[in-house]
Amino acid sequence: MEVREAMRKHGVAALVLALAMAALYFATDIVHSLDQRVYDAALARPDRQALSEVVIVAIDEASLAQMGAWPWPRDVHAQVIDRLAAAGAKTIVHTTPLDHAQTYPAQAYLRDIRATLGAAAPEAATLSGLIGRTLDEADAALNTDQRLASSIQRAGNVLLGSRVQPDAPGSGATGKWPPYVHRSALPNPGSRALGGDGVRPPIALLGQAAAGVGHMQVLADSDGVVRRVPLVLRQDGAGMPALALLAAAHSLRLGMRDVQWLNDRAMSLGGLTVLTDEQAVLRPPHYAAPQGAGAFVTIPFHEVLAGKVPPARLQNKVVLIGGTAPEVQSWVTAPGDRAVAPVQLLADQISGIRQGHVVTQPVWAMPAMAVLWLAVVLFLAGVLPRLGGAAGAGIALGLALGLAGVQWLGLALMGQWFPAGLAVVTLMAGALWHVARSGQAGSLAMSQQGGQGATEADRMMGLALQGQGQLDMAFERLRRVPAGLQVQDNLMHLAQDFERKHQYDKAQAVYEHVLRQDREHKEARARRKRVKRLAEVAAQAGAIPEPQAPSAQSAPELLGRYHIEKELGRGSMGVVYQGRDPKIGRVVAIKALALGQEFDGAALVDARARFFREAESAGRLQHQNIVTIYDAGDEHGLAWIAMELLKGQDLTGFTRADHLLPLAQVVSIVAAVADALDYAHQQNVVHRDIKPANIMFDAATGAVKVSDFGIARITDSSKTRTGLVLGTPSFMAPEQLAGHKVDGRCDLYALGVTLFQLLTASLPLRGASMSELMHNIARTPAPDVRTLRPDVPPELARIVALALRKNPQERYQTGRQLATDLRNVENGMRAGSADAPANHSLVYDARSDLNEHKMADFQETVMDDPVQRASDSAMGPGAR
Amino acid sequence: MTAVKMAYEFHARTDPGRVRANNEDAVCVDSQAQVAVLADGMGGYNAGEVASGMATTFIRTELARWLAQAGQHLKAFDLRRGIEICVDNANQAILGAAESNPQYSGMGTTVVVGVFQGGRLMLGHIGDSRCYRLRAGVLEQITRDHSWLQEQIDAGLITPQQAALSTSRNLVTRALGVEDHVLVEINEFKVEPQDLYLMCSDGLSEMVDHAALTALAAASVSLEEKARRLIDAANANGGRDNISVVLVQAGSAEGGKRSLMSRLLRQA
Repeated sequence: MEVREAMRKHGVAALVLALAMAALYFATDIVHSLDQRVYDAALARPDRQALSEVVIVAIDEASLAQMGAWPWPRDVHAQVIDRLAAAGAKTIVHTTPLDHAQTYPAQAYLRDIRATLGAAAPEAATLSGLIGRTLDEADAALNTDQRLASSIQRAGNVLLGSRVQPDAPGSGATGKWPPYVHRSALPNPGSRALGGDGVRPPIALLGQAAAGVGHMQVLADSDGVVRRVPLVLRQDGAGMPALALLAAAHSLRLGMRDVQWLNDRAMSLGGLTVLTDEQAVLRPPHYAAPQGAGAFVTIPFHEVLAGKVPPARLQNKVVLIGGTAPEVQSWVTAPGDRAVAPVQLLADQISGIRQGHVVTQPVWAMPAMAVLWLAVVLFLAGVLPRLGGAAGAGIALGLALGLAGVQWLGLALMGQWFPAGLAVVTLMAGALWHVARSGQAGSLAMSQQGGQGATEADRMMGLALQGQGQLDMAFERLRRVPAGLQVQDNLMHLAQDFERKHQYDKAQAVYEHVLRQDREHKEARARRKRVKRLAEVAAQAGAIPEPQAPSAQSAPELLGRYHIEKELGRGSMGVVYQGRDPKIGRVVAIKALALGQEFDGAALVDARARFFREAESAGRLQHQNIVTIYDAGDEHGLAWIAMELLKGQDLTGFTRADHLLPLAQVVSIVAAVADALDYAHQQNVVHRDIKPANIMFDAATGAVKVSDFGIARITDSSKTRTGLVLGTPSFMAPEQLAGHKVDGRCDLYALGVTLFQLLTASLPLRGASMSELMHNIARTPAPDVRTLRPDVPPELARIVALALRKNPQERYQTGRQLATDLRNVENGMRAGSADAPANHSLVYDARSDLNEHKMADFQETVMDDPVQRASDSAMGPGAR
Repeated sequence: MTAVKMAYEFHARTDPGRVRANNEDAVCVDSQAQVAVLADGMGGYNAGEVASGMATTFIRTELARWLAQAGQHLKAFDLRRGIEICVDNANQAILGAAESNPQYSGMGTTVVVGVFQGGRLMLGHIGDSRCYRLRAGVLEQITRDHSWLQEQIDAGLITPQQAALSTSRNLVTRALGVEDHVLVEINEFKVEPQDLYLMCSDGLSEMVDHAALTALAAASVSLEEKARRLIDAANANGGRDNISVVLVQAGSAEGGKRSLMSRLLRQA
C-alpha cells in the first residue's frame, strides 16, 4: 500500500528522470562511455596468458634506423620470408599493405632498351645477347614484387592482409574481388555479415602466390576505441575472413572450408568454437603485458633479416610481420586508451580465437538490461522516496556500484558482457535527485537555521530586540537582513522608535541604511532630512526638542457625509473619530474599521456583508437607553458606522470596592438596562455581551445607554478581528457557555451578574482557571448577595438570585419583569431610609477568595472568528 | 542532578498545507542545547508569521544561551524558571514589536517549548499547539490545550463527542504576545529510553485522528520520513491549516560507566 502511495506521488518525477536518462543514452555517448570504461577495466586481466605460438616480427624504430626510411623495397620482405621459411615458421602473416605494385622509373628505361635491342641489326646479335642477359638481371633485381611473389610462393604458408578503406579512391577499392581472394574465402559468409566495400586486396602477382588473403578491418566505437573486429566481410555471396581468423585456422592446419556456422552467433573451427555477435563480429581480448613489454614475443625485423635470430625461436610459430612504428602502419586505439599497431591487435585476435578468450554479449543481454532498467525506475518511484536522504542515496549508490561490479565480474570471469550502464546511470541520477529532494525538505524544516532561514531569524531577533526596547541591537540584527519590503518596513519603524527616543543620529543611520537598499524610498528620504535637521538643532541647543509624533495614518476628511473633526481613540484595526453631520450640525462618533486590512477575497466579501447586516439590525433599535446608530457606509477601504456621541463613562469604574455607586442608583441603572433589553428582545436582537463595560452612564444627567449591540463591538476590540461574539466568560449564562442557542434570557442573566458586581464589587462565580469558572457557572449556585453585602435589601437579593438561576426557565423571562421588580425595590428604598454610603459594609476581598486562592476573572469578550482563527481571548473595549 | 545520559535526535518540519497560501507556523530545534520550539501564529497579513517566527527564534536563542551558561545539570526549579523568563521575554518582545510596527498589531502565537536534559523533559506551552509522547506503542497527549473547547470540556459543560462538532474550534484562551502577562504552563516529564516526543500545531491534530497519529508515530522509519508522512497524512485529509511537526527521539540510556568515560575524555 505504502509503496503504491509513494509510486503515485513520486512516479511522475521518477518517470521524468528515467526518460531523461534514456534520452541521454540514445542521444549522447555519456552512458556508453561509462559502459566502455567498465569494459576496458574488466578486459585487462593479468591472469590470461597470450598464445606463446604467436611471434611478432616488428618493423620498429630500430629497424627503420638500420635500413632507411619506409617504404622499403619489397625484396627485403622477400628475404625475411625466405629466412622465416628456412627457420620453419608454421604460418607467416604479412600485414603491411601490398595493394599497389612497387615500380621503379629504371624499369621503364630497361623496357625501352630491350625494345631497342629487339629492333637491332642481326650483326649485333652477340652484343645484344650479352646486354640482354644484363638486362634480365637488372630487371629481376628491380622487379621487387616479382621477387616477393617468388619468396611467398616458395614458402607456401604466407597469408596476406588487405587494407579496408571504403571511401578511398583507387582501383583496388572498388569492383569485385579477384579470383585469388575467393580461394581463401568462406563459401558461406552468413547473411548478416558486414559488407566488404572498400577492401583492397594485394596485387594479383602477390595474391596469387599467397596461401590466403584476409582483411584487416576493425570497428571503432563512439569513443574511437577498437573493441570489435568483423570476422567476415561479405561480397557476392562469398566472405573474406579476417586475417586473424585465417591465421588461426592456418595455424591449426585448417582452411576456410573447415569453418562451420553453429548458429547466428557462433562458428566452429575444427574443435574450437568462436563466439561472435549476429553480425559475426568478434570482441577480442586484450593481453596485459608484464612491465610494459608486449604480451607477445617480438623480434625486430632487421635482426631477422640479418639472420641473427636462432631458428628455434621461429620454428613452428605463427609469425606476424608488421609495423610497430607509427610511420609504417598507423596505430589504433585499443581498450584502456592504449595506442597499438595493427599487428599487435592482430596478435590479440589470433590468440583470443585460438584460446577461446573472446568476449560475448549474450542474446538476452539487451532485453535483460531493459528489464533491469525498468526495475530501477520502479525502485526510484516506489522504494527510494520512503528512505531517508542519506540512507536512500547510499542504497541507490550502492546498488549502482554493485551493478557495475557485477558487470565487471561478468566480463572478467565469464567473458560475458552486459551493457548495464543505463541502469547504473539512472540509479546514480536517482540518488542525486533523492539527495536534492531530501535536502530541499531538510532546508524547509530548518528554515529558521540555515540559508534564507538565517536572515529570517535575524529579522525575527531584530523585531524581538526592538520589542524589548534594545533598539541598537535590533538595528544590528536588521541591518544583516538583505533588502526586502518586509525588512524595509521593520527598519522604518525602528527608525521612528529611535526618533521617539530623540536618538536622531541613530534614526538617521537607519534611514540611510534603508536608502542604501532602496534609493527611491521617498518616505525614508524625507524623514532622513527631517531627523538630520532635528539632530543639528539638538546638537546646537544641547536640549531635546519637542518630538513631532508622526501620525501613521492620516484621518480621512470625510466619511459618508460626515466631516471628520478629530480622532477619539484607536485600536489595532479600528479608529474612532468624532465627526459632524453638516446638514443638521449633529456631532457623532464614527467607528471606522479597515476590513480590507484584515480580510482578503471571499472572506472580505463575507465580512463586509456581515458588517452591514449587523449594522442594519443594530440600526433598527431606537430606544432611549440604547446607543443610536445613525448611518453606516464603506469607503476609502474603511467600513464605518456613525452613532450617537456619548458623554460619560462605562460602568467598569463603579465595580471597584472603593468606588461603588449608591444602591438606589445601581438599581435605577440596571432597571434602565432591563428596559433597553426588553425592547431589543422584542425586536429579536440579542446583545450577547452585557457587562459593565458595555453600559455607558453619564453621572451628570443620569442617562444610561447600552452600547455595542451587534456590529458596534466589532470596531471596539483593540486586539481581535471581526467575529461572532461568544460573550464574556464571567458574565455568560450556563447555556451560553455550553454553546446552546442564545436568547434574551442570557442577556438577563448577564445583567444579573452585572447587578451583583455593581452591588458587591465582586463577581458571583469565580475560578482560578477558565475551566474552574465554567464549572462553577454550570454547577455552583450563586451566593446570596447579602453574604457579601449585608445592607442589600432582601427583596433586591431575591431579584439577583432569580436573575442568576441556572435554568433559564426559572429566571426572569423578559426585561420588563426584571425592570418592574427593580423599580418596586427602588421605590421601597426611596420610601425607607436615605441612601447610606455604600462601601462600609463590604466583607469580601475581591482579589482572593476566603481561602486566599488567587482568582482570575474573565471579564473580556471572547470572539470566535468564523473565517480565520481568532487570535486571542483578551479583548474588549479598553483592553490594553 | 540527573545521572542518566541520554542521546536525543531532533527533526522539525513545517508545511503550509493545502489551503493556506502562507505559513504562520514556525519550528526550531537546537540539537546542541536540546531545545525544540514550535509556534502557531495568528494575526492579519503576515503578522502571524512574524509572531511565530519571533517566538521560536527568540526562545530558542535565549534558552540555548542561558543553558550554555547555566549548564546541563540544572535543578528542575531553575530550569522551570529559565523557561518562564524566556517565554515572558518573548511575550514582551512580541508585544513591543507590535507596538512599534502598526502592521503587526494584534499578532499573537501559541508556543510549545521542550528542553531535554538527561532523562528529563521540561515542557512549556501556551495555547493549543500540542506535545504527544509515544511510549511502548501508546501515544499520549501530554499538554492540555488552552482552548475554549478544552475549557468547556474540562468544566464538564460538553462531552468530547460534542466538542468534535463544536464550531468554536480554534479559539485559544491563552496566547503569546497578546497581553502584558502570560502564564506559561510548565510540566516536567521523565523520559524513558526509546520515547518519541511529537510536537505539532493544530494543523496536524485537527486533521489526523488519534489512532492514525499513533500508527504514523510508531512506524519504524527515520524521523525525517516520519515527519514527512505525518504532514502528508494531514494534507491527505484536507490540509486546511498550516502543519508543523517536531519529532524528538530519545535514544537508549547510557549508564554511569560510559558517562564517567566521556567525562574523563572531556577533561583529557
